[in-house]
Amino acid sequence: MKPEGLPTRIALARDGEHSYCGHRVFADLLGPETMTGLLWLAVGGRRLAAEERAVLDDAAVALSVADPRIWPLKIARIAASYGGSLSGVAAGMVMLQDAAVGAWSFGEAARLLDRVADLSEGPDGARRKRVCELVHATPRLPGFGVAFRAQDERVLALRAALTSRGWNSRRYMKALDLLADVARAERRVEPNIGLPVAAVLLELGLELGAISILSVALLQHMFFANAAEGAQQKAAVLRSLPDECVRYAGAPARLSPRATQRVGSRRVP
Amino acid sequence: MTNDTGPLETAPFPEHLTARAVDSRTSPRLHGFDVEGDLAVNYSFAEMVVIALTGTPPDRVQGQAAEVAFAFWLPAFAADAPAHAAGLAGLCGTSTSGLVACGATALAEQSRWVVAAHQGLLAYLEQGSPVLPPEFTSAGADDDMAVQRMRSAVEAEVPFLAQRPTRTAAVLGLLHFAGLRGAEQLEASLTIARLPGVLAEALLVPHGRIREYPMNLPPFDYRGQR
Repeated sequence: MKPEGLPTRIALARDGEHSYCGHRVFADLLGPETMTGLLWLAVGGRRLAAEERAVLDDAAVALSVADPRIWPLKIARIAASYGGSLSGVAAGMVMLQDAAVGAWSFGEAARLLDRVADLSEGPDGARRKRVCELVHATPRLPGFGVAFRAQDERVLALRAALTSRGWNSRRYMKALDLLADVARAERRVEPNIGLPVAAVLLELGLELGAISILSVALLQHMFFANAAEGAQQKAAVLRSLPDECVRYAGAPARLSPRATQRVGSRRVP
Repeated sequence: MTNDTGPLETAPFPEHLTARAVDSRTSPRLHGFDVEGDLAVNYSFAEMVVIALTGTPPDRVQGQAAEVAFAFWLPAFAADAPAHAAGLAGLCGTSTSGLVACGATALAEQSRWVVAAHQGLLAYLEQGSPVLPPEFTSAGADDDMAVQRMRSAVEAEVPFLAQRPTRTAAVLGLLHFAGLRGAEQLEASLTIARLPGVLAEALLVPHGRIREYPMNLPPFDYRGQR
């Protein structure tokens, strides 16, 4: 039986011209479109206006903490240490799928933010009460928690950039501010960069199911940067740490049951 | 105002990486067992996989069951995603490491998919219920014959295999019998067992012979504006 055609909205290669997500590559996209715009088109399904692309670029720039010590980037660095840059990129990025640490989790932050936005209709007091109840009913708040410092400087920077672009009165920005305020008061937790990035993506109209993958796409440059340098360096210390840097904490030395049997049987005359 | 110190300099971190399974300070030990002087002498590769994933050596009956389960799971068909993807990587002329990484990634996903689709079976195996859930029951002669061959190959009587499971359910049941439990151990063991099969297929794909690949299998139907 011949398989049926798989529907795709992504692309069609044609003679002399190609289609990409509903647009002619050479006639429509070449020239005015940007890399950021192509990424959004890939997942978001529409072309962004220049000012929208600029906000997306703000998010990507604010995300840029590319320190090679940060766990997912360290993975890229380690995997690239034999000289394969794309192996480093792939190892670092594939790890993000469903991971609690890293940009995939921004999707959960977006879901929470979407619920808050729905609760944010109506009078002020009632809104806050509903969000308060939600915050108390959610054991682990996605988009919250800042490691090793009091506040996430990326949140402050992106929030300031969004303010300068006049985004404060937008639906998900207001939800972000309300949620952050309530969580700070009720749970003493601070938002991390996942929350404002999720707000930006929701504001631009991205579906909840696409938030995670686009969030990862926005920080791909950090994986490329670390994998490229890591592959070039081929650092021996990343290929194998010195023995004295490793502490064994597993089971103590022991004989297997079969070895024990052998030893025992040799003792029996 | 910025300076050269940040939270990663000031926060307290351990100075050592912790190894939890392999002790390499002298001759390598796996979960405490001497690999070269003990495991290599007394255990097969499949049994060592069980030890690696569980920390516990299987007995001879369990070990032999693991051998059979691994053998039954090894074949990777060219039509299935892991071998298909790895074969395409070979066609594109990638490095061996690129091909292995490509196949292993798809294979790990296949393992996750298979185990997720058998969550009900895992619950059944844990509880030891008398009746196999119908969705894991043999669909016909192919499954029945494969499971019959499996029963012949396994030295022990594994009661679960008498309940007419599907071939895949039988492999998972046998791995469970061998001591592998939970999604993590089962996904890992399925991936290990099948990787040679994926590579067997993919390494034979000639590099660069792009005209020999069925480009429109399956066909795609572009729904966007042209």
